[in-house]
Amino acid sequence: MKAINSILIPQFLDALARETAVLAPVKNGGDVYFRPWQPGAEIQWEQNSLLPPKNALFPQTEVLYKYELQGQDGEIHEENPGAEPQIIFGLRNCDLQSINLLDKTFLSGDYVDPFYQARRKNTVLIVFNCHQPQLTCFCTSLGVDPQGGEGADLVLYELEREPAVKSVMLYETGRELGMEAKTGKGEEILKKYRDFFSDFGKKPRPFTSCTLHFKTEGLAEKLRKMFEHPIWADISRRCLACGVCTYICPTCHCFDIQGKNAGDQGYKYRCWDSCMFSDYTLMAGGHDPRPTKRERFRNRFLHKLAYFMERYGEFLCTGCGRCLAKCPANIDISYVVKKVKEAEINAR
Amino acid sequence: MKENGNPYKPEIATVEDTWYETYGDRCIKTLKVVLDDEKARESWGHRPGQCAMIGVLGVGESMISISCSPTEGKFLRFSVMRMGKVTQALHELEPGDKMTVRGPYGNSFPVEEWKGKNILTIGGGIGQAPLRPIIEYVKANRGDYGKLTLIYGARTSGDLCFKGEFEGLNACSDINYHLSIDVQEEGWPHYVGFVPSLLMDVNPSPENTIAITCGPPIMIRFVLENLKKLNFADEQIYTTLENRMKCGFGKCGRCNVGGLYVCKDGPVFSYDTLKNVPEAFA
Repeated sequence: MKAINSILIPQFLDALARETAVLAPVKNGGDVYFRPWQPGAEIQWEQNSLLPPKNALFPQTEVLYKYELQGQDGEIHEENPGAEPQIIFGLRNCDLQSINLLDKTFLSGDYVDPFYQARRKNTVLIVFNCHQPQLTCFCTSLGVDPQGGEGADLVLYELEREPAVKSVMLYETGRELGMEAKTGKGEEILKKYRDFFSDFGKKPRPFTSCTLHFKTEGLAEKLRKMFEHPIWADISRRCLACGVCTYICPTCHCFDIQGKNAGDQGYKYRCWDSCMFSDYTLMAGGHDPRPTKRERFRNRFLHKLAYFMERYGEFLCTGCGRCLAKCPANIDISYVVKKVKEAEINAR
Repeated sequence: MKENGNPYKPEIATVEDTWYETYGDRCIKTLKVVLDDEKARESWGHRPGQCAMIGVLGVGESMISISCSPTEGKFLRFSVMRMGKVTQALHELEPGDKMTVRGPYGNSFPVEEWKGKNILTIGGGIGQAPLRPIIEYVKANRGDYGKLTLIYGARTSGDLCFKGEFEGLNACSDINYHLSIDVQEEGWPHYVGFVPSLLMDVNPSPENTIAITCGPPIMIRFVLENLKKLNFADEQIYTTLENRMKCGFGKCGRCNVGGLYVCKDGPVFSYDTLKNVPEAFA
């Protein structure tokens, strides 16, 4: 087992970033964001990022192909889905699991998404295990091990018996962090940058526990019988349909495809879309199968808690807690689950 | 990990021929189209019931059902109702113009499984477009199927698609067609009324028969009811769904009915599947 002193992390990232683009959680205006690592930046260890690193694999907008218009005719130019190698450093296990879920959507089935695939192949994931959740965290309820590292190339973790990182002194003297390779790519990094690492025998610091907790047994099955249940109208009433929950969600993958023309040139691009928006399912003839907030809200929760489970065998939620922390109307997925569990099913 | 090309990039196709099926505000135009790239043309291979994302570069694309059978030749036919921006642009296309096509997408009518059975199609309005490939397929493989019965209706005689194609049908053995319009017109020799009542009037036997219905949701609802009255089992009934789509292959997320994606798991569904799917007929 290897360890690295926290003081050396910036130098380690400097060394990595000299060869490969590195994204790391840094503070920016009071919030934490994944940003390209630059010498002198400071890693934020204590809180998860405002936005998940989803953008690095599935950008908010992305060109699919370009075209030239020649009157009614046209020519299409392939956009190469190649992607530069990148390292995502310091993502949490909830966001790591969300990448495993995005893999299911974009890389399985009859069609593989070549843009996502190219980025995914060229991405190294260095996960930072959690030992202390935030108040809005509930990953363990959804079966995510906050110290699991499933799907990561390297795992970084706090060690046992080290005092919690609070004082300035500790930052200055540093603390040892454990590091373990999970894949060949991870091994290579440990080998190549071995000067940063020492051998160390301490165990990882255990995870305390999430304060927010619910059981999911039978949830998908119960939801299947609750399509017409009044709770959807009740809970969705205060939703503002702003779509922030889908925008900050690490697992939401729905997108729109649009074109942009400038003179005789143009390009087709995709961009994140939200199932909470009123024109999401609206058809040209005016028909909308999900015409009100109730249907859209219901679809969002059913997609997360039932439909994705039916198709891929997992919940499309990793318990990162961003949606409930940021919802302007305080809509909370754990409250929705509670209401579902309490609901009486009318045996009509 | 498997590799495929860029599935979002369409093929360029040339419009060979166009004609109007119906006129008016909701006019329907048929485009006969050939893919420009020879390799793409050879490997296309659609099955009856599948759709394609068709469009005009610089305007947009829409999912439209392919209204011809692969048995008809190496071309594609789309019958498009003018509704929004994209369908307006498609209506403006003339022979020789270029358009974009990607696909084919979705599952298809299980025409292989239906061999040896009688086929009954029940269409309304533009809903005849996805049914046409079945009719053409059965005609091309006449020996493999039993009786073919077409029931088709529209608001007025001017709203019926593929009008020229019905006359020849009665000359074929064991093919019958029944047309209807909502209100009597001078010289109309066929049924007057709605499609579900025409179905009861024709009174087809469910024995060894597959019924496929496409049309407006309200029509489908009553046709399903009447098929049940005629003792058709749920497994004998098929329909197609449509929803707004962007990617066409189960990634973009919007066309779902319950846990099914219309683009990938559909557009063809048996009633046996759909009866348990919430919002299938929303």
